[in-house]
Amino acid sequence: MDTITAIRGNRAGCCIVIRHMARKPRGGPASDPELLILTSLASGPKHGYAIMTDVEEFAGVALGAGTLYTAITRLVERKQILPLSADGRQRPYKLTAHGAAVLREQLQAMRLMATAGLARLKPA
Amino acid sequence: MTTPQRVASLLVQLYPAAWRREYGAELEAVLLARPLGIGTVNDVVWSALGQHVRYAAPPVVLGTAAMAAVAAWLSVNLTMPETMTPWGSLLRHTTMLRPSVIMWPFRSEAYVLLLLACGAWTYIRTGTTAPRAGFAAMEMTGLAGLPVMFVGLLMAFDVVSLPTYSALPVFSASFYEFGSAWVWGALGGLLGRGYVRRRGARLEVRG
Repeated sequence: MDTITAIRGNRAGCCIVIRHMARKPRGGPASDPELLILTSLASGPKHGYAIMTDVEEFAGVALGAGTLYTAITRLVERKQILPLSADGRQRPYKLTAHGAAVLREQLQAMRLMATAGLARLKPA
Repeated sequence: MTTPQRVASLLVQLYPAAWRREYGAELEAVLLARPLGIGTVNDVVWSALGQHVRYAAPPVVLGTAAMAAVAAWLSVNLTMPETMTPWGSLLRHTTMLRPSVIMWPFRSEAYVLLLLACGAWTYIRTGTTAPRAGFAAMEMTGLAGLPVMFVGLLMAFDVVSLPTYSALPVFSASFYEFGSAWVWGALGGLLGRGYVRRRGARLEVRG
């Protein structure tokens, strides 16, 4: 089974790729704010500003405060992340089991795409 | 209160109240963590606009968009001769006794699609009944017709004039559209229900 067949076979993964293509984040699918936030929270709960700085460090993407909270709102609504009780004004967020599954699925779909793309870019 | 605090507080105020209650304090703290630049302000303004669309009821979103289009069209009609306007007059005389004036785009296929969309979207978002989806479409029509009612009112007080039209028929033109709006909206609600059942889509019920 070649990579494209694998992607076609994986309907959910295919939908994710199409969804990413439709939204066209400026730096490609890897700069999708929701994916970046899920990736950031995979290493443990963080509050908004900590997510922002973490994303800058590991992806080199500067998320605006508005973009960050728009994405956080969506992720909370989809129950992919969960707000924890806060001590100060900043409330930490935690990745849920569902969020972790979604992240894993998205990353696997991206890996398939990246493998296929890089293989095709090799000189003949 | 310092200037950045004032600006951050003002920016947070741009969001819908329900959103602010949930995320306002956090957003303000994030905004104050760094110097506020034009890019940040621009990002927050667009985000706030997006949240207003997400939180607003479908008839308000669609009705406001239709109202803006109607207002723009009327402004052209009021300021330019009819022969020079791209799509002619928004208002048309009928051969009937009532209504003697109609807003013809409200009788177009495109507007019917908008009413269906309003009904379907209302059902998908709130899981309401088809008759209520019809009322949502009526609300949308009411909003869209506000500029025409306003012009009718201005005509009654001789503030503006539209040649060959009198004030009362213009003022009441949108009322005659409510019945068909309800029917198409309710039908849209049924389509929305069909979509939800067929696709097993999750209702986006918001309080």
